[in-house]
Amino acid sequence: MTALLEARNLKKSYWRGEVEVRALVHADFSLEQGDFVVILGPSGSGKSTLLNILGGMDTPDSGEVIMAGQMVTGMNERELTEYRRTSIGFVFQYYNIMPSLTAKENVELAREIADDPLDVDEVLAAVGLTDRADHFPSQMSGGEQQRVAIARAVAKNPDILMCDEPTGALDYETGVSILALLCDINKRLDKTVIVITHNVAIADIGDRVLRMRSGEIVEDRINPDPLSPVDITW
Amino acid sequence: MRTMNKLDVMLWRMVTRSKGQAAAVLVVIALGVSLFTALAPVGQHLEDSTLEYYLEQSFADAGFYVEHLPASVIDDVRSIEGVRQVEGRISVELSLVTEPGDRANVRLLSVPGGGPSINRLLLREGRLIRDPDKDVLVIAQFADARGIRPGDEIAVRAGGHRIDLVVAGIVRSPEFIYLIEDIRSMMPAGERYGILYADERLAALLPGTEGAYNEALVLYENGIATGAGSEKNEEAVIEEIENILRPYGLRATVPRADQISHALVNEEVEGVKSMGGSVSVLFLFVAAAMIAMMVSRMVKKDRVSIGVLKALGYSDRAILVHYIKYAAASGLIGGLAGIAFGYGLALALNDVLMEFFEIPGSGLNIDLSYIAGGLLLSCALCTAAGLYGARGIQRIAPAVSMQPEAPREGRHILAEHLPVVWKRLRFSQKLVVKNVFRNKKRSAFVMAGVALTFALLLFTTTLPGVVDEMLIKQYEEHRTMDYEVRFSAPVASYAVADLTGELAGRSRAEGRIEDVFELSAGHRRKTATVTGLASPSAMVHLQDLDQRPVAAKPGQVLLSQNLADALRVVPGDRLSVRSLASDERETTLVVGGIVRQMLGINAYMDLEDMGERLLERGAVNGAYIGTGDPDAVQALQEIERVSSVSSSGDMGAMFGEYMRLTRVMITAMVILSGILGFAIVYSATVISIGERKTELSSLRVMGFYKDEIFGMILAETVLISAAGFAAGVPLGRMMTAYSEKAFSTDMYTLYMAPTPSAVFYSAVLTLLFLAAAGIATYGRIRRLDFLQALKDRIS
Repeated sequence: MTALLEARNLKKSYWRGEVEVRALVHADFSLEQGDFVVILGPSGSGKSTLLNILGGMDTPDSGEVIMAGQMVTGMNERELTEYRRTSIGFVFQYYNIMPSLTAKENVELAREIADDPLDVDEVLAAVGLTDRADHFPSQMSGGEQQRVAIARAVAKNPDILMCDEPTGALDYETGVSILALLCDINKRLDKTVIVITHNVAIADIGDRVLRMRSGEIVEDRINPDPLSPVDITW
Repeated sequence: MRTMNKLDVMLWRMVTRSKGQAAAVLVVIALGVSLFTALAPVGQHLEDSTLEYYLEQSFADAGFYVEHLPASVIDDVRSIEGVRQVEGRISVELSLVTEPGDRANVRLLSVPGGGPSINRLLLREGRLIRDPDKDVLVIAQFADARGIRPGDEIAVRAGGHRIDLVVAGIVRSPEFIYLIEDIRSMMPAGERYGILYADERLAALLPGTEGAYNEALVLYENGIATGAGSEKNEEAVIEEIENILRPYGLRATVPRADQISHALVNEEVEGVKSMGGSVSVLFLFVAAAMIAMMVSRMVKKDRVSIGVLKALGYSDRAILVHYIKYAAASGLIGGLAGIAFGYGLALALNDVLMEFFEIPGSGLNIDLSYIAGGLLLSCALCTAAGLYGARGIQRIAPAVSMQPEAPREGRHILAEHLPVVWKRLRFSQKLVVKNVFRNKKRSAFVMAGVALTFALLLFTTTLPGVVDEMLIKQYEEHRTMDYEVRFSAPVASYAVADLTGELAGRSRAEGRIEDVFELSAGHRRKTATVTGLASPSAMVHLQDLDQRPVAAKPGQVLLSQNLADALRVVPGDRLSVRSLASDERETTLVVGGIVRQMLGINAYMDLEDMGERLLERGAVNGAYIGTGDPDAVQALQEIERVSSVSSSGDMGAMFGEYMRLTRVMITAMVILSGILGFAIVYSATVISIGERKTELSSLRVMGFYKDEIFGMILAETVLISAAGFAAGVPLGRMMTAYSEKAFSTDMYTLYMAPTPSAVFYSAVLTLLFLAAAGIATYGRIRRLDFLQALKDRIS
């Protein structure tokens, strides 16, 4: 089976004042269509840097990122924007949705720039927000806001959904429901999902787990029997 | 060395991070303070110097123009209660003998043997009159313009006779600070019109004077002019004097307020002072609004830091002071820069004005109160703005501040409830509209800024049209004669044609009657020049308020707007016209219309009708001449019954100077308006981008191009600016209407309606300044580090 996303020997370091921080020492792996990948690691292990490079928000010092056979590394800024526009859907810990737009409008915002977007109402139904479609973020709970963020990311119909600590700002029950939603999207829409987390319990729901430490992937394992989000606890 | 405390370090870093905005604020403050520091003291100095000059030289409180005033009547006037001093003098219009092709008119005024005691002369060069038969003193502006020096011999022509004179000295007079031939000239033309002073004996011998005074100058007792300390007011004193002078052919009364030179200088003083007040305060308020916005944004941005400081034990007051320091420092630094710049501007402007008006006086000493006042105003306004902007500090609780901020409250906007409009918009257009209404205060500020810029530019671009109509169209379209001659006594209108016989080439002449009359409607009275024009006139083309040709029919009188306003009459009303010289010459006329006329306060009648009612049937007392003869002046002056010739043909240099002054003023206004517009739009947009950094970054992450984001922000600015433009048109019209009202006097009526081309040019200029602000903010979007913004939630 052809890999959807390949990371080849990625390295990234940056300077914080006069100190060189080696954020990513070595990362080499490939993902396939429909994978649910959990990248697990403590703070400063390099997982966010890896996600940013995979998502075209940052560039590596060396190494390559190949998306569906297309070389992402070396793309100029405009090409990287186009890459994010068509191939990637981001979900952040703090939602980053537009406060002046309703839930539905936030999703429509993503549709605006997509070549082959999904139907907004269907996406809202998929994330369970049909009844809240006309509500503003300030009228919603954190979990509902994160659902809007997921819906917005999915509506573009991207190849991969990249989620950076999507449950980090949520309570346990809400966090589980968000993970369940991501699993559902992965299964129903056959979207590749990457979830970054420092929460060890979440690793059990991924069918592939990459464990990181000090900028390196120290474990890359296939989970033959992933748990349902409702079965995990932290 | 004492180190900076940590809050100050934070403050300094904060300011250096927003250099562009800080600079924009400083420029606006500095401009406001410099105008305040420069204009008000210069206006005040000009006023003080003028008043001092008036006092020292005993400038007349009123002048009375009479046909023949025996010396004995002067004593009768002196005996009136409220009159301190009276002096009679002979005034006669003459022409200077010049080289062919050149011309100049002079007014010769008699002075008593010991020199005048009213309107006393200030000898600048040379000596006073020694030989009463030959010596004359020449007014400085005229002498300088024509290169006349003491000891020079000059000659004048009076009633066809040449009189040779010797220039004894060069003088200045409080009466002619602003020296113009009549109000229609508007700008002084030193080389074309001057004043000569001669001994009474010489003046009495000149043709047309018949040896009697024809002017009386009066000084009141203290308190009459101001109405203080006396039961009698100026009006009562004037009435008593007029009653005494009427039998001797009173032609006009000119109280000091209406004296041309005084009124024009006064206008200048008021203009300079009011600009110093209003424009500088406008700039400082704009700067204050910018500071309030900036500080408010800083407080929001530093939410976590403020929470940490509070958690560490800093009081609200200490943190508040930290932010106010920035505002106060801006006021202080901008204020000091403004004072330095204003000081230079004041000195330069003062030199120009004092030289222009030939006012003797000490150099400009800017009173410390203006400097302190400017600085205080700037610091106080900026500090108050800082306080207003930082008021949110108290609401920040330490524990909450470290949590991510809850999303701002979203609301549906009015347009969403208008489905007809809303459904037609594309999603990105809806987003733009929503963003405009999201921060209503800021949008209103930008809109007001654009409206103000547009209005100021509209006002500015309307000015050339006013100057054009006032000075150029008047001669090119409304008064197309080349010369105007006055006769020493009325002549039969048919004799006017003889004038052209003396001129070379094709020439034509048209008789006219012109004299000063008292017009009254009910209890309102006004003295004004009434002109009788041939029907139709080939030389004077009157227009009504809609700029359509208009002419007076027999039985009618046409009035200039200021005259109609003074008498409170409208077309169809009746008014009476009475000669000041004789009660017998009085008639009642119907107001036939209002004439669009910028300069002077005038009434117009049909020539024949006026002759019949107010002079003699078939008589005229002057003529308009149209000719191509280059030596027409010489030829006309040779004619015995011609008392003076004035030209409207060679005023190019005069207009050139005025246009140059206008251009300088317009350039300054355009720059000031532009700076204001740029600073407002730039700072508001930068704040808006800063505030929405996270949002804009998430748009970038989603795949929006930089250009698309810039396009959205630009569209927001365009939408707000469009509203600003819409509001700017009526605001500009209000400014011009206010100016029309404020600056219209007995001497001129201002018509300042913005033309479509003025609207077009001001729109183009406003757009240019907005585009400059747009380009300056584009860099912010280009440099937006979206990764950092998303990592740093408190961005």
